Parts: sequence; structure tokens; C-alpha cells
Amino acid sequence: MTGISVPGSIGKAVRPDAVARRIALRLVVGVGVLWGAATLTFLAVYLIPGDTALLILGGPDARPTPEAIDRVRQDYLLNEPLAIQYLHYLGGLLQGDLGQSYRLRIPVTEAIGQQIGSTAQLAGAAALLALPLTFAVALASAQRRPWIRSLVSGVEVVCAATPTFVIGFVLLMVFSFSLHWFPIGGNQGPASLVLPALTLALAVFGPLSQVLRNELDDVLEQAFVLTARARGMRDAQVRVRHALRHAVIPVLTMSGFLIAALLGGSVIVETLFSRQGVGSLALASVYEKDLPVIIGVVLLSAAVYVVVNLAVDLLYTLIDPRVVTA
Amino acid sequence: MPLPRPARFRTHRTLTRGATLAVVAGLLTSCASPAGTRTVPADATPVDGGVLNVSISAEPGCLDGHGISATQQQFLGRLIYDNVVTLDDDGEIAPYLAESWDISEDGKTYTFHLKKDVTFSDGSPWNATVFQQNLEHMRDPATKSPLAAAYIAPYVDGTVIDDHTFEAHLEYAYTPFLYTLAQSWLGMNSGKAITESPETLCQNPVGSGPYVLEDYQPGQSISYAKREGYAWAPEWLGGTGEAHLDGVEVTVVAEPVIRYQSLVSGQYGLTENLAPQNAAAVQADPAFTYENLPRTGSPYVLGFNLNREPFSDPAVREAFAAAVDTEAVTESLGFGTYTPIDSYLSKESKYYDPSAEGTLAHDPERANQLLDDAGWDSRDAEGFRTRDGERLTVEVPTVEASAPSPLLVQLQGEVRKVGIELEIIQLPQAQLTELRYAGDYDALAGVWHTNTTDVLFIRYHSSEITGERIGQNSSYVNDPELDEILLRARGAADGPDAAEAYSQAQHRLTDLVPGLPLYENPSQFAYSNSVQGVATDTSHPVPVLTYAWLAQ
Amino acid sequence: MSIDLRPGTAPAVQAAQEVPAAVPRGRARPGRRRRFRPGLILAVGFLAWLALAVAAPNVLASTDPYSVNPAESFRPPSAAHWFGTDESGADVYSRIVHGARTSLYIGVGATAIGLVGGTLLGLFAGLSKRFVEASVMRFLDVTLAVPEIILALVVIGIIGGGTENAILAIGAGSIAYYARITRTQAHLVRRAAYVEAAGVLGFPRWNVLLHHVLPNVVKPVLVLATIGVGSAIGAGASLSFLGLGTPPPAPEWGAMLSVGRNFISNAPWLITLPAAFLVGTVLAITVVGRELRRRSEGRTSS
Repeated sequence: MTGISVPGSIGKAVRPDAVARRIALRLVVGVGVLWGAATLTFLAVYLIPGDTALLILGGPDARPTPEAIDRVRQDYLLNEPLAIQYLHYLGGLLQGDLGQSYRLRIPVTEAIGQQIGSTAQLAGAAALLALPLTFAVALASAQRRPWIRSLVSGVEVVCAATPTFVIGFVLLMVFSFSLHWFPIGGNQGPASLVLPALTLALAVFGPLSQVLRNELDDVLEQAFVLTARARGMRDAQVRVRHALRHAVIPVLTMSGFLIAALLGGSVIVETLFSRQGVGSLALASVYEKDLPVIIGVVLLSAAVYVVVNLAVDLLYTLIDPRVVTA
Repeated sequence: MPLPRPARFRTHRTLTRGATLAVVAGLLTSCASPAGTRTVPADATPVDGGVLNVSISAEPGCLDGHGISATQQQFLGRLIYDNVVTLDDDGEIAPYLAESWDISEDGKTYTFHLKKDVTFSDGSPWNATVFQQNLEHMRDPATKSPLAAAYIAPYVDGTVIDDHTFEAHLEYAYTPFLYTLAQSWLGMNSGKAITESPETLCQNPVGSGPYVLEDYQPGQSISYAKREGYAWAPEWLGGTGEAHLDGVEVTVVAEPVIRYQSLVSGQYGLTENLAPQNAAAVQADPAFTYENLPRTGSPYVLGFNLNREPFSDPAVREAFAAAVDTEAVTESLGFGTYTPIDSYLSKESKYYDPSAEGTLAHDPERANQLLDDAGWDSRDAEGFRTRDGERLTVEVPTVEASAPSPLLVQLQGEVRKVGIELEIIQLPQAQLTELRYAGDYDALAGVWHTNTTDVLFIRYHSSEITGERIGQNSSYVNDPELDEILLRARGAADGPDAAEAYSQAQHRLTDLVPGLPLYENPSQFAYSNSVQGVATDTSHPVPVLTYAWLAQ
Repeated sequence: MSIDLRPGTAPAVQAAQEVPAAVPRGRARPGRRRRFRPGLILAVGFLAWLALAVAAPNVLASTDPYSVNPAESFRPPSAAHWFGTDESGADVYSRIVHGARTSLYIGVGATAIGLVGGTLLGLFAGLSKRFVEASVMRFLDVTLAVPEIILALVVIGIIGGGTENAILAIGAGSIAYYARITRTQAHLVRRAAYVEAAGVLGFPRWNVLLHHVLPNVVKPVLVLATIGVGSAIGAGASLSFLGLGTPPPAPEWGAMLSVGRNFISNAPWLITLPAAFLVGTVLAITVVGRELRRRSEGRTSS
């Protein structure tokens, strides 16, 4: 094959310059989302009642001196009005400075940087488990005998309904406490990743699979599928070649859900399995009202989200050229 | 009769306590002789080498003891820090980084003669200047000290007499000074680090202790390596020279059941915190040692707010205390591992006076009588007492926690029987902190651990009521008689005068009923018997790993 | 295989596979309908029991769920206590029965907030001008960008914990999902030929919305909502796990699970039984919900 293949060649409606413009627009919008997220979180956390200085100084069971309290208020601009605090924060943000963690007393970028690898590992492993599982189950079960469907959807509902920490506990009880196959917690080695990743994968599997299968059900009843079958195409071929392509759009719509669910689930999973990571950092920061870190985590998830959405959006146009607005 | 001071290697003592737990433990006591639980003879020769894996329930987020108040520092601090003085097996002040000291007649001048040839892990020396730098660092507002600064508050200034002689001047006679210097939070940092990079001490503390920090992942793990050339351990540890272990790997394991399971599975050799519900199982297992040691200071007390209705009325305080079956609550709460107490001072504390006990017995009839007499004699539709149409309600805020203690729920059930409504208010830590210092609550449950009986001053002296400065008299006790006694006790040198003053204070507190004492504040940890030489000190009954070793 | 094209559905739409039209599923075809369905009967029975537990818990469990007795804690299941007792000596069966109300309240309440808020926002966005739509969706992106649980943590940090606030936090966190799905569907429907035709023919906008867009949007959203009730109950439990849900001593399944997990080695029934009821409830709701949908679809097409 010679020549450069044009990205838009799949759908007639998409031209390369349109794609470029879309990307540019998306990036601008993405920055807007980040700014919005930072601002909303800043306001929200600012509204959390409670004296931040006293909290930084050990909470209810401590004896900070008045001098220390004053110093904390000064250092973190706690005596300044909201607007000043906010502008100061934005100013830092523009220079890539997310501020200093109240609790850890190190820069936020460093605090998050220490944790991000571990969470990426966990979320990546969970996605690698969840996605093939979802597609396999949905493809195999859509438009099958009622009992197969009931069974599969039952499993999905159980996965979706059981709180993540209970799934985790059950896996721990079976595979760690009783069978001793995997370590009970921590970040040491690939073996310690198996159960946390499986827990997280099962937590996102239910909703994903349910949506995908419903779409497949619909697609498989469409006229063109009938035509394909009438032409003598084998069932497996119909499912993979025709149905999947059409059913994938709603699943792409849910990839935002997937990312947020993986990140959110990591809060629970990391807490339960005593893993380090962004989730447990976020939780500790919310408990301790560590404002700079909370905003940092929110910005991080927003950034991931913006990038994923951009990718999804482009995929949309490739799969179904009609979805071009917005 | 004062109890004997705790012995250092406490297996035997723990197990005698264990015998009282037999209600839950059942048949355990039969196989629980100290010798029988050891797979390695206690006098075996220590082996060098190996890394000990330790699980811990939480980590402070900052490892500089001066900058934090977290409980875990009691254990973590002992790994990397040395203190100026220490408490020996009998709970008496003993030499550590100071060889000796003189206290002036008026109790206001302390002259420390410091040990020579001690170095910090960054190579810098320990001397009088460094001691002074440490005291300054504790009270430097930039350190943001929640605890250490208050403990040395009477310290005015110091004079470096020579390289190894330091004179500290106090504002008034303050006997607890030396005791607090023995606490983990007041360990000595490298003077070089304090001067050059104070802002890095949280993440990279530099001490002179038996281990050196190697790697710190906040919220997750802390790695320590043996300090080469360490040779200044306190005498009570019974050893000299470097640690036997190559290192200690501390991992945060927040879930109690996972700490238990991973100890039993061998993933960790020691857990700094074993939940009471798992105590019986570990005790029953001959491959493990379980320790249950009370922390000195204030036991677990539901402190009443004397500033507000209804607890401003002594009759209601007494009635509340009489309504609760402390023994049953404690028994169920601690699975038999908690020791119920009816005094405001831990029995392990110096100058504990047993004659102040026993006035707060469970007596619902008396509770009802007291409340009737106090005017709370009508009942509303739900069966709660009322006075002038107002329900007898007690608001108890508590922090939103992942695993709320059933304590308040059980207290709620207990006092409901005499018609008192206990309302549990779960709040985020930030709000709880604010409410706590605003005095906006009827009662608060809590402990205060310190190695000196001065805890009574901290908890109950009127000058410790939060006003311009933060104080820990959260019961708002403002009693001139008690104030006078506590101030006298604080200034009295150790001896009969102090004993008498503290005895008076305990009796006065029993009269005032500033709260409902529940149980001793325990340090409960467990380790595999392959871990040998685990010591505990009398300042904080936590494991000290200086000369711990791993049996092959 | 036969396919019946409903009169109201434009063939063009069918051909384009845009709208998941309400075509009866294979399992719903009359010839294959099974007369005896034990799963359905079980589910209906369970929901009936649950309804009774919500309406009149005292009929099912006469023991006071708040009655604590420290001396009677951690009793295994027995004749006196069918499901044993908890860490405070309260009867677990009674707490499960009395807890049904709160747990369902959380699940249904949070789902309702997400469903109503999300559908309205999604419809509004999907049918608005591009700029308005983009603004609304970007705002939702901000809330979607933050993991639900962190969002809930921040919301609860501001307004405090407790049952109602947990519902609000969970519901608010799910608005964006419903909105996105609704918007995508609304979009596709709007561009379908028959809807454009209706517009050209001069039917009022609301009429088009009501008769063409809404019915097509409802199905995928309801699919999500069925799962939503379950995951909302689960999310409530997760908040309890983090100490932010229904405060003690109120009986609530999530809170019971949260406390019970610490005693898993001592009293496994504290976690297995509430979990079974939680999962059972969600399963039953789903089974019955599907049956209802199937029947309503069957009726339209006959």
C-alpha cells in the first residue's frame, strides 16, 4: 500500500483541517474545564467549615502555641479574604506551582508525583482485566437463551450492587486469608497487584457490561444484521464484525465513567489493600482538609479526563461521522 | 497500695492480665505460660542481620517529632531519635544523651552534662549548642508544633556553658520538664539539619538513634537502615553498640483485620496495633507474643462540659456516671482486653492514688433518684426525661471515622435506660476541631497520654481552658481549690510533697466528676516469636526495636 | 425470525440503527415465553417482604433494633437471635429489617436525583444551540472529571455527613452520567429524518420533544437507573466504609457492613448477612424492573 492514508478517509464528513480545528477547540475547552475544576474545588473546600490552622496543628488533641497558629495563618494566607487566596492560587497555578501540602509540608506536585505511578498501575491493570472481560461477556451473551442472559445479567448486577469494599473483602478472605495465594496488602511486587486490580475491575465490569450488552441486543435485531445473517454470515462474524462496531459508541460514552470509576474506586481499593496511590492521598487530604492537595488531585483527574474525552471524541467521528456537533 | 512499676520485658505481666480476660479468652490461659509461648529461649544469643517488617495503623505525614502530635510517633520516634533523658525500668529519669544533670534549689535552672562522642547520622556532633537549637526549633512557630512546644513552654532561654554543658532556664519550677524531654516527640534532631534545611526535617528527619531513615513514602511506608557505629543506647535496654537488625520496614496497614491476618500469615513480623477483637486468637497461638500495656496519663474518659447545661449540674454528672455499667461496656468494647477504670489518672501513672477509686459505681437507681431530685422528673412520649418541657439531651460530637467505635452507641443505650438522650454527632475532623476549641459540645470522649502526672494539670487546670491559647481542659473545669493543688504539684520536686499534692488532686477530681472514666488507654501490639529482644519503655509502652533480632 | 415494524416508527430510523427502538427482544416473543419463572417469583416475593419491612418493620421484627446489651454482643445466629447479635449486642435480624427503609431510601433517592436532574439537563443540552449545549456539557465535564467518591467526599465535607446529605452527594455525582447518555440519545434522535421532518412540518418544539425524543431517551436511561439504584446503595455503603454515611446507631445496611468488616474473623455474620440482603435487593429490583419493561414493551407492540 502506498501513499499516506488520510485520517478522515473513513467518513466522508471529516476532513483533516476540520479534525485539527476540532482538536484545537477541544484543547481550549479542556483548559477551561481544568480552570473550572480548580475554581469549583477551591470554592467548595473553602466552604468546608472548620479552622484550617488548628487542623494543621494537630486537630482536637494538640496544644499548639498562639505563635505557631499565627505563623500557619500567615504561611497559608488563611487570614486573607477569599479573593486574595484564590488569585494567589491561580497565580501559582499559571507557573505550574500547585502550592504546598499542609499535611506533608512538601510541594503538591511532589506529593502527587510520589503516588501517581502506583495508581496508574492499579487502574491500568484493572482496565486490562475489565475491558476484555466486558466485551467477551457481552458478545457471548447478547441475544442468547434466556437462562444464559439471566445468569450473566445476574452476575453483572451482583458486581454492580456489591460495594467495592465488600468485593475486596471477599477476595481477600478467599485468596489471601484462606488460600494464601496472594499477599494481603501493600505495594510489593506484581503479586500484590492482583487482588486490588481484580476488585477494581469487578467494580467497573457490571455497569459497563450491562450497557454494552443492551446495545448489542438492539443492534443484533436491526435489519442489516438480519440481512447479513440472510446472506449466510456466521453468528460469530455477525457479532464481531457488524454488531460490535455499532454498540461501541455508548461504551465510548462511558469511558469517561470508566476513568472516573477507576480513580474513584482506587480510593476504596487503596484504603482497603493498604496500597499507596492518589486515591488514598486524596482521602487523607479530604479528611485533613489539605486544600492544595485536594485541588491537585481534582486537577489531575480532570486532566486525565480531558485527554480521554478528546480521544473518545475523535473516535466518535471515525466510527460514526454523523456525530460531529458539540 | 501503689502497683509495682512495670517490668521491661513484659510477657509475664501481660499474661497475668490475660488471665482476667479469660471470659473471652476461655481456655487460653491454660497454655499461656510465658515460657511456653516462646519458641526461642529468652536468653538465646542475638543474631545479627535481617529486615523486620512492621505494620502500623497510620502514619503522621511528617516524621519530625517536634512538628506533630500523632500517637504513632511514640513508636516511630524511638527508631531514629535519641532523647536527652529516658525513663528507666522503674519509671525514674535516667541518663541518655545527657550523662547527668543538676537542678537548682528553686527548680528553675537545669544544668545538663551531655554525653560526648555522640554523632547524628549526617556526621554532625551532639553538643550543648545542638541541644539549644533543638529547644528553639520546637518552639519556633515555623515548626508548627502541636505538642512539643507546649511541653517545654516554661523554658525561657539557655546558656551554652561549654561544649558539653548546657544550662536551661525555666520561668517557674516545672518538674515535668525532664519527663517530657524523655518523650518520643521531643527527640533530638541534628543541629546541622536544623540550621541548614529545617523545612526538610518532616520528610527527612536526621537523628542520632539506632536506625537511619532510608526511604519515606507518605501514607504508605517508611524504610529504616541500621545506624553504623551507634553506641549510646540507654542503659535499661541492656545492650551496647549497633542494632542487630539490618533494617526495619514499616508499612501502613489501616484495616485492623488485615493487620491481624498479615501478621498471622507472616507477611509482617510485628504489628504496632492489634485490634482487641483479634487479641484472643493471637494469644492462643504459641507462635506469637501479644502485649497489652496501659499508657500512662489520662485514661479513656467521656469528659463532660461543665460550662453548659445539663452537665453544669453536678447531680446530672453523677447520675450519668452511675447510669453506665462501665464494666460491661468495657468488656464488650475491648473483647476483654480493656481494663475498666474509675479514676481520672491511669493506674500506671506515677503518684496514682488507689484511695480515690470506687466512687463511681454502676447504680441506675441512684441515677434515677439524682435526676428526679434535680428536677428532671417528667418523661416525654419517647421516655426521655424532661424539665420545664425540655428534654434531657447530651450532645456528643465525634469524628467521622472509617470504623466508628461502638462506645458511644453503647453509652447511648446505657443512659437511655435512665431517660437521658445521648445524641451522637459525627463530624469531619475540621469541624470537630473548631467545635472542640469553641466549647460547643456537652461531652467529648478521649485520652491524653503523657509520661508525667502533670497530665492532670493539662486536663483540669483552669489555665488550660482554651481562650487566647489552645488548652486541653476540654471539660472546662474551673475550680480554685483544684487549681491551687495542681500548681503546687507541678512545682514540687519528685518525692512525698508531689505524692501528697497529686493524691489531693485525684480526690478533688473524684468529688467534681468532670467526666466518666471508662478504661485504661492501652498499647496493644503483637509479634511473631521469631522476633526477639523487643523491649518497651516506660514513657510510652510501645515496642522498642533497638536490640530486636530475628531468630533463624 | 420475524420483525414487526411498529406503525409509529419511521423505517428510515430503523435502517439507520440510530434509535434503540422498542422492538421486543427474542426472549419476549410470545412463542418462547416461559410460564413458570422461579427467578421472577423469588424476586417478587423478596420485594414484597422488603415492602413490608419498609412499611411496617415491627411486623417482621419485634425486637428493638436500637436495644443494646453489651453483655450479649457477638452471639452467633440462634433461635433467640436468628441472625445473631452485633458488637453492641443488638439483634442483627431486627437491624436488617429496620435498616431496609434507610438503605432503599438512599438507593432510590440518589437515583431519582441523578435521573431527573440528568435527564432534564441532558435533554436541555441536546436540544439547545451549540454554544449553550457546549457550556452545559463542559460544566458537567467538570463534575464528571472528579471521581464520584471524591466529589461526594467534598460535598459531604461542606454540608456534613448523614443520610440525606449522602443521598444528595451520591445523586449529584451521578447527574452527569444520565445527562451524557440523554444528550447523546437526544442528539441522535433529533437528527433522525422523522424528527427533522416533524420540525419542518411545523410541529411545536415541545411536541417533538414529548412525542419523539423523550420516549427514545427513556429506555437507555432507565437501563442505567436500574443499575443506578443498586450502585447508589453500594455508594452509600462505601461512604459508610469511609465513615461518612448514616451515623450510628441507626440501622442501615451499608453502615452495618462497614462496622462488621472489622469483626470478620470473629463474627462473619455481621458482614455476610447485610451484604446478602443488599445484593438480593438490587437483584430483585433489577429482575422485576426488567419484567415490567418487557411487559410494557410487549403491550405496545401487540
